[in-house]
This record gives sequence, C-alpha cells and structure tokens, in this order.
Amino acid sequence: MPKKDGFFSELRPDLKMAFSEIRKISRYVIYAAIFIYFLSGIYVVGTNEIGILKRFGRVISKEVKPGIHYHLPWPVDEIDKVRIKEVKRMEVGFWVKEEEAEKLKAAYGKRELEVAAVIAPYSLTGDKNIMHTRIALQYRVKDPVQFLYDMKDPDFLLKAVVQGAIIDSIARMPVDKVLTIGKHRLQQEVHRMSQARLDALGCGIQIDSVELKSAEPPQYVMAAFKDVINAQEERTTLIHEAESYRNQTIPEAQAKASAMLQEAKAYKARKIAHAQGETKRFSKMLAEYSKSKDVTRERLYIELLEEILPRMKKYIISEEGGEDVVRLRFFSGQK
Amino acid sequence: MSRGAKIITGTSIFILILMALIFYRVDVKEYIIVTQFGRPVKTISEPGLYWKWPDPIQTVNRFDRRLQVYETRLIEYLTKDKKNIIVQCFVGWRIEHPLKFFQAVGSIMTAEQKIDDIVCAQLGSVLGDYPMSAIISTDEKEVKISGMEARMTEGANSKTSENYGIRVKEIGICRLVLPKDNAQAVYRRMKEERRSIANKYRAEGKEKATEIRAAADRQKSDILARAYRDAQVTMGEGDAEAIGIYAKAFEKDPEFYKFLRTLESYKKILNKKTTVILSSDSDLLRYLNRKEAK
Repeated sequence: MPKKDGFFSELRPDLKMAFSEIRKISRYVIYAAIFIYFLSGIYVVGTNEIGILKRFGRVISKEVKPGIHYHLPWPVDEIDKVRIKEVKRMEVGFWVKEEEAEKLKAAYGKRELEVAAVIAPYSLTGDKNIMHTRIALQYRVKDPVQFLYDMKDPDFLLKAVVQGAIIDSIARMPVDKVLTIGKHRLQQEVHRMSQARLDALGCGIQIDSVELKSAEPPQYVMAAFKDVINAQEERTTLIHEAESYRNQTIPEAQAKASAMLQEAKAYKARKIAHAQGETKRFSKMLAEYSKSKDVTRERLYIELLEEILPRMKKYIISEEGGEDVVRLRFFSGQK
Repeated sequence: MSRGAKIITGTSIFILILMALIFYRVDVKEYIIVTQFGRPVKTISEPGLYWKWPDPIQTVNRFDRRLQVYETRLIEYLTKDKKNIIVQCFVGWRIEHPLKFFQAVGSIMTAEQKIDDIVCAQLGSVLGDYPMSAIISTDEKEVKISGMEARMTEGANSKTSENYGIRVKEIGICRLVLPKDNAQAVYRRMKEERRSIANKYRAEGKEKATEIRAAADRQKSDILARAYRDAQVTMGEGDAEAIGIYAKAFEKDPEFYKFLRTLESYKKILNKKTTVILSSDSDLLRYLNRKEAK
C-alpha cells in the first residue's frame, strides 16, 4: 500500500523473517516446555523425612517413604515434606537473656535493678517468691498430618503450652523445694502437663525430654539466697568444732582422773609401806631397849647430841657466879 | 506453523485459560466460601477439585481452617480477695462455622480482635471469682489454674461460637506476674526472709555448739570431781591403815616411842641457825669439869 511505504515498507520483510524464525523455534520450545512440565513431577523425600501427597488439595498418601518418587505435576498433585526423625530443640521459660540483662543494667543502673528485675520475665512460686526458670525442650513431629494441616503454628503453640505448664507447676511449690528437691518433679510435671495438652489439641508433636537448665532466684536477691547456704555451712562447722572440742576434752579429763587415782593409790601404798617400815624399825629398837632401858636411852640421847650440836652455836654458862664464864669452843667443822 | 497446528495451539491455550478461571482446588488446610456477586452461595469443607463461574460472577474466598494461636496482652486483673495480678494468655481457636464466620467476621485479623475482647472479659470475670490462693499456693490442692482455664474456654467459646462461628478450643495462662509495686515488695520480702533464715541457721549453730561445749565441760568436771573424791578416799584409806599400823606398834611402849620421836624432831628442828646455851653444870659437860675428870 502506498501509505505503508517508507519506514514500514522497509521493516515489513525483516519482521516477517523474524516471525518465521520464531515460529520455527517455537515448536521445539513448546515441546521442551511440555517435557519439563511433566518432569517437574519428580521429587525426593529425604531420609529423615516423610512425605504427604495431595491431589487437588486432598490427602491421598499420608506416608510417602524416603526416596525418589513421581507425582503428577502441579496443579494436580502436590507434595509436603516433614522432617519426622529430626529432634528439634527449644528453650522455654522465664529468665533474662544475657544481652537483655546488659541492656537493662545500662538503662536502669545498679540501683534500679530491682525495677529492671520487675520487667524481666519471671514466674511465681507457691509461697509468692520470684524465680527465673529456663527449660530445654527436645521434641519431634509424631503425626505429620496433624502437624501440617491441623495447626497453623505448632512451634508457637508448643512454647505457649510449656510456659503454661511451668507456671502451673511452680505455682504449687515453695521456693526452697524448687531450688532443691523439686527440680526433678518440676521436669516431670511440665512434661506430663504439656504433652497432655498438646495431645488434646491434636498438635502432632511428641515431647521427648524436658530438662530444667536452671531455676534461680533473681540477681537482686541472689546474694541473700547464697548467704542462707553459707549460714547452713557455718552452723555445721560450729557444731563440728564443738563436737571435736568435746571429743578432746572428755578423754583428757578421763586421763587426768586416771592419773589422780594412780597417784592416790601410790600414796596409799607409800604410806603403808612407810608405816610398816617405821614400825618395824621401832619394834627392833624396842626389843633392844627392853633388854637395857637406861643404857639405851642414854646412848640414844648422846648420839643425838653428837649429830645436832656440831652445827649449832654454843654458849656455856657457869652456874656458880657471873664471873669466869668459860667459853669453850668445840671443833665443829663449821667456819 | 501450519494452520492446523495454529488452531490446536490456540485452542489449547484458550482451554487452559478457561480451566484456570473455572476450576479451583480446595486444600486440606482451608474452608472455601463461594460468593456470587458478593453473596455467599456455597460452603466447601472437603478438599478436592471444584468448578465455578469465573470472576467476577463467582469468587472463591479462602479461610484457614487450622488451629490458630495468639497471645493476649499483659493485662491487670483483680482476684476475688482484691489482689492484683497481671496475666497473659494464649488462645487456641479455629473456624467452626465458615459461613457464619464469613458473614460476621470476614478475616482472621478481625477475628482475633473480636476474640480478644471476649477472652479478656472472660479472664476478668473468672479471675474475679477465685482468690489468689487458687492461683499460687504451697498447698497443691488449692491451686485451680486448669479449672479456671477450662471455665474461661467454655465461657469464651459460648459467645464466639454463637456470634462468629468460631470455636475457642483452649485458653491457657502463659505469663503470670505481679504489678510493679507488688513485685518490688516481693523482692524486699524475699531478701528479708532469706536474711532471717540465715540468721536462724547461724543462731541455731551457735546454740547447739554452746550446748555441746557446756555438756562436755560438765562431764569433764564430773569426771574430775569423782576422781578427786575417789583419790581422797584412797589416800584416806592409806592414812588410816598407816595410823593403825603405827598405833598397833607404838602402843607396845608409848613412852619409848615418845622419847624416840622427840629425838627425831630435835634433829629436824635444831639446825645451824640455832644457838644453844649450856649450863656448866649440865650432865653433858660433866667430864669437862676438871674435878670430875680425875
């Protein structure tokens, strides 16, 4: 047409050629697309997974085992996979995470820590004490259909349920029990209550283990709690010291008592022996004396004087008058 | 491309587009309400493949039929005995009656708002029926948290079910705290309590230790006193026996004994410090006198 002359008339044969080329390729492109489309039906279920196959949205196979499988491509068939053997972990509880603690401290300063502690999560014990608890959960998917199709957010639900169980169990125990013998019981109760609730809701989750990682009083009162333990130890120490004093003193006293008795016995024996000896001596002398009384008396008297006079100072006075005092010096051996 | 192929391709594409507009899948996770010009005409709860007139004649509205979970805010409530407590709950709910839900609510977000109002009101009324000891108590039997939760669930459910086609499946307390002032008071009290317990232990320790030591001392003096007594008795026996021996011997001649004993005592009493004055007449010096010496 004369109107289409000029730019378009030159363009037209090029476009025509381009289109014919495209048409030639397009056949193969279409064949390839269809092939790829049907190829998309190949899928793999991993070794720790289970697959659930749906056709037009309806579940036709609940347990596709691990391996390579084929399904009709979308939108006919669809496969959902769940890691059924994987043990998942979660930490649940009421405590201050380290980073948060730093932030709170910086924001409120040490003096206001009690205020900060109020903001940090905690739970209440039966005797109205405040505790921080930290629980490590291990859980698995036990029913993949329930897990995927009955629950919108099963992990979130799990966390909420376990928190509820923690609150319920701790609210029944006094703080001393929670800190000491109650830990085991707490774990058991939390496990039992949570699992029961999850099962009632049809969650498809199996809790494998509940481990109480820590149950502590808050930072603010920690020192006071530690002091109680110190006080207990001090009490034990004081009592032990007193007992060892006792264990030392009594044997000591008994030893002393024994010694006293021994001494007394020795004294008695000595006294008797002494008496016996003396009286024997006396009897002998008496025998002598009886034979010649006067002579013996005289002899003994002079013997005595012989013994004692030498060491004494002596003066001899004349009875006959004041003059002529005779002073005799006996050699006494004394200087 | 031949005419025939063109027609086939064209028709296929047309058919595919038509199928996309007419057919729809209902997944196992959802409810479907088909509306015709905005008015609900069909409810589908079975998964599978269905058909409808294309938009805008008929529209597919999808609703998540799974259990939804959300958490309420932290709200302060009053217990029966006028104690303040701050509670946060998790609520598990699902759509039970899709049509009613669609008509009354419309979307999940709106649903949560409406549920929240009902749940919070239930919390208030149920909590107000129980004393604080039903929530925290060292007596296990007093704590009725699960009972309270069941009541709340039932109460909330009766309202949501009727009005919104929503079933509240579970309400559970997931956070329980005290108002700030109460909590601070609790901290102070905890500190005081611990302090008095520590003091008690220390006092007990001191008391017991003192007791043990005193008892030990008492026993010690008992032992020593008895031993002293026994020793005295023994010594006394010794003395008595000795006296007996002496008496028996000396009474044979008391005079002689007195004589001997006195001589003994002179030996002891008169020592080098003693001065003796002798008379020149004395017997002892008799032989010193020249007259007598002859």
